[in-house]
This record gives sequence, C-alpha cells and structure tokens, in this order.
Amino acid sequence: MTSWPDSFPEGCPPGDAVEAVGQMYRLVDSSPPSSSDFASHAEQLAAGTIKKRRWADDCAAAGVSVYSDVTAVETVRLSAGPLRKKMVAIGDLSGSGVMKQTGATPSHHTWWRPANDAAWTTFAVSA
Amino acid sequence: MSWLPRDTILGELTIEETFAFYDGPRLFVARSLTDQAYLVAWATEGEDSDFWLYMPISTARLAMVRSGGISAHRAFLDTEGPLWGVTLSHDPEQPDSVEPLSPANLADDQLPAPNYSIGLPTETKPHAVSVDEVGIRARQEGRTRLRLEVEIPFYLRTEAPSRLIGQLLLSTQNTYDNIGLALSSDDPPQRGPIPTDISMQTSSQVLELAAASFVIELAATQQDDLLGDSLFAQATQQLVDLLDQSLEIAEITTKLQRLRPRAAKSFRRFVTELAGTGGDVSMVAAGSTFEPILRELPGDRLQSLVSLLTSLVPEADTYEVRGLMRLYRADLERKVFGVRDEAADVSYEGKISDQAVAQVDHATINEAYEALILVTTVLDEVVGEEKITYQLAQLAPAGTTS
Repeated sequence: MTSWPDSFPEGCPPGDAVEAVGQMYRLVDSSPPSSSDFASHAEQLAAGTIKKRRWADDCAAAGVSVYSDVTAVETVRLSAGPLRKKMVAIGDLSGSGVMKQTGATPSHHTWWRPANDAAWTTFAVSA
Repeated sequence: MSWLPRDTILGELTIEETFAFYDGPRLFVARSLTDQAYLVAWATEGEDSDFWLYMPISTARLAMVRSGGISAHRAFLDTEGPLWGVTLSHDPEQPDSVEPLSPANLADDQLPAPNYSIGLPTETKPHAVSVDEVGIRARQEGRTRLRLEVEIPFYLRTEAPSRLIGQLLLSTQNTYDNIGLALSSDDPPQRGPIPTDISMQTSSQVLELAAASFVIELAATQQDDLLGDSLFAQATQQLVDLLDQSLEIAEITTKLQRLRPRAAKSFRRFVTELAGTGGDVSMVAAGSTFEPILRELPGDRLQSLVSLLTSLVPEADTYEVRGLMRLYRADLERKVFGVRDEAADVSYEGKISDQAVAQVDHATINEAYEALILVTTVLDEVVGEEKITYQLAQLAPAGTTS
C-alpha cells in the first residue's frame, strides 16, 4: 500500500487519479535535478521554506506539475519570466504515486508523489 | 486563500482564465468586482516574496493577446493604461502590496518570452444564435434566411479575408439569381443579364457577422408573400436540397439537369467557393413556411462534391471547327494566330497550342491550310455574357487531312 506524505490532506490524492506511469517532463532549476525541484507547495509549507498558504485547494498544492508532451512543457516554460530560467527534464514516473490530468492543457498532469519517492532521481535535463 | 493579492487597491479579484499553469497559475486573466480585466504574469521568484505584473486590459486587446495576434511580451511593454507591480510576500505578517510600474523599467526576464504567444481560438463577435432561433427569426421577419458558417484554417479570431468572403457572397448571390431564374420559367435564358424582376426577388442582404468560426447571416431583401412563399425561399430550398449529403450521384445529376446549365454551373461555382475556404462549412436555411434545415459540409466532402460537379457540369463548353482557312497572322514569339474561313466569311484569332507551333513555323502567310480550331465558351456570371476563345490545335497543308 502506498504511503503518502503527512502534508497530504485527508482524501488526497483524489480517487480518480490513476497510477503514475510513463515518461513525463518537468521544469527544474538545476542539472542534475535536485529533490527541491520536485517539492510541492504543501511540502514547502510543511518544511517552512514558504510560510504563507496561497492556494485554495490543499490537495492540488500537494502535487506537482508534469507534462506528457515536450512541446507543451517548452511552451509553458516560455510563458513567464521565472519559468524561462528553468530547464526541461524528463523522467519515468512508473510505479511512483498517482497522477491526474488537470487544467486546460491536455498534457498537463498533477503528480502526487508518495512518501520516500525515488522516481524524481530518474529525471535528467533533456538536450 | 489564493494566488491573488488581497486587500489592495486592485480590489477583490478572481481568476477568469489560466493560460499557463505550472505548480499554480503563471499567466492568466483576473477580473475585479468592478469588471476590470487584468492580464497577469509571474515576473520574479524570490525567497521572501514573488513579484507579479497586473496589467488592466480592454476586451478587444485581450482578444488579440488570447488569440496570439499580440504576444504577451509585447502586451506588457505596450500597455493601454497603467501597469501594476504586485508583491506577494511569503511572510504571513506582511501584507500584499501594489505599486505603479513603467513598462520601460521592466527587465526582459520578468516577461513572457518574446516568441511566446497564447494562440487560443477566440470569438471576437457575439456567438451566432442557435439553429432553432434562425427559424424563429425567419418566421418573425416573414422572410427566408440563410446562414453560412465557414471555418477558415489558421484564423483564431472571428475574422476572415475580405477577398475570400467577398467572392463567397458574390457567388452566393449569383447562385440565387441563377437558380431563381431557372425556377421562374420552363425555358429560362441561358445567357444574358438576369432580368430585373428576377434579381429583385432573389437579392439578399448581409444581416450580421457572428462567431464561432466565421458566420454570415443572410436574408432575402423582399418579404415572403402572404402564403409564406417567395422565389428566394424556393431558391433557398433548391440550394440546400442540392447539398443534401444523402443524395446519390444520379439524383444530383437529375436535379442539375432540371436546373439547366446556367444555374447548374452557378451552383458548381458556389460549391467551389465554399471548398476554397479550406475548412468545414455549415449552412442553415429557414423560411416562413419551412423549418430550419442544417447542412454540415466537411472540407473533404466539399472537395469531392467539387470534383463531381466539375465532371457533371464542366466550366467551359468546347467544340471543334475544321475547315480550309487562310493563315493571315502568325506570331510564334507570342504564340498567337489569325486564320480566315473565306467560304464562311468568319475569322478566328487566338493562341497557338503547343502541338501546332511547329506546323505554324513551317507555314506561309496568306496560304490556305486545313485548320482545326478549338472554340471554348465560358459564361461570365456578372454580365451574363459568354466569353469565346479560340485555340489553333492543328494546321496542315490543304488536302492532307480527311
């Protein structure tokens, strides 16, 4: 049985999330990516990295954004100044937590990482 | 709680649409209680606070930015009014703050990339009324209506090229005129101007343009009669009848034959114009006495219909003229010729075909030859006159052809 971080609210991840599988893209600050590149807002709040809760949905804030399509992640990277500084990394989520398509972009998924997730270590900055 | 500033001069805001989401909304539209829209972009990520750009934006400018007509980068540098910088502190004790900004002081790395465009389909006209509503309006107004909806590839706003729409409207009116003429008589004239009493009954008006895609609402200029009938209504029903996708080829052929060549060609040109839009087309027709009829015409269906109509109703009528003729003009550089059939007292001038060039090259001016002329007639729909062209297909010494 999957063990979820204590920072997850009750009933999170949502019941309609599916088992995480396949290669996904995420924007990261460093190469190789570090664990902080995969810290959700909820994790950061729990760790004291951020002190103010800005979001309305605690469960959404417990997940992180990943994209299934490289063009879509490249596009979102160009959409805002701080994102332009980030790099595109690709990794395999298979067997680690659950994910769900969220938002208007079909390839955008929220990934809920289990406690002691190691899948982030498979991520590498793509050329 | 939300990603939006609280207790600031910007008022109470809600996110209306998110264009870029990454661990939260990063580029989006927010709207205040006073109905002011803001284009919002994440500008700076900091340890103690994040900095955001809030730009009041008009509906028209937002449509341009949303559809990719103006990049988000340019929008923030070329503001319509003020630009606000919003600091959202990570410290719960610190309030959110707002300050006026000058676009000139923005750093490039605070903005969306110059080559980033949102590029979403955006309706810039009111959405077209429902099919049922078209029927209701036709009955209320006592006149027949026709809606044309064209989907023009690569157009994200409710806009369309003037030339394309102009040609489509002209072709639509010509088709109404010619079908109306065909329906008004057992033996309608196949050339010459459309009689005024017909064109008055078949004339249409553009009522409005609407979204989505590009919607043109047309209606008869004249009202239906007291029985709800009109030549325009009959022509409309004939038009949508011909576009029924369930028709077999034999049925289309029969219907076109009934219309006679002039109206059939006009219908073929109309379908060709529809196919020329490059996308799917839909049509709604409604009258005082008939319920709305919807015709969905996918682009590939239109293309195959054009092919069928071109084979059934070719653009030009071509026939051959043979005879002993005197060559009085031959310009091989411009590939033009002139021959005269002295017996029939007729002259022909036009282009020399490629296969006849060598024959003309060896011919002598003012000598008689066996000539083969291809005569092509095309009806100019605007003036109703036939345009005749001649092509020299063969020129052989007298007595050498049968």
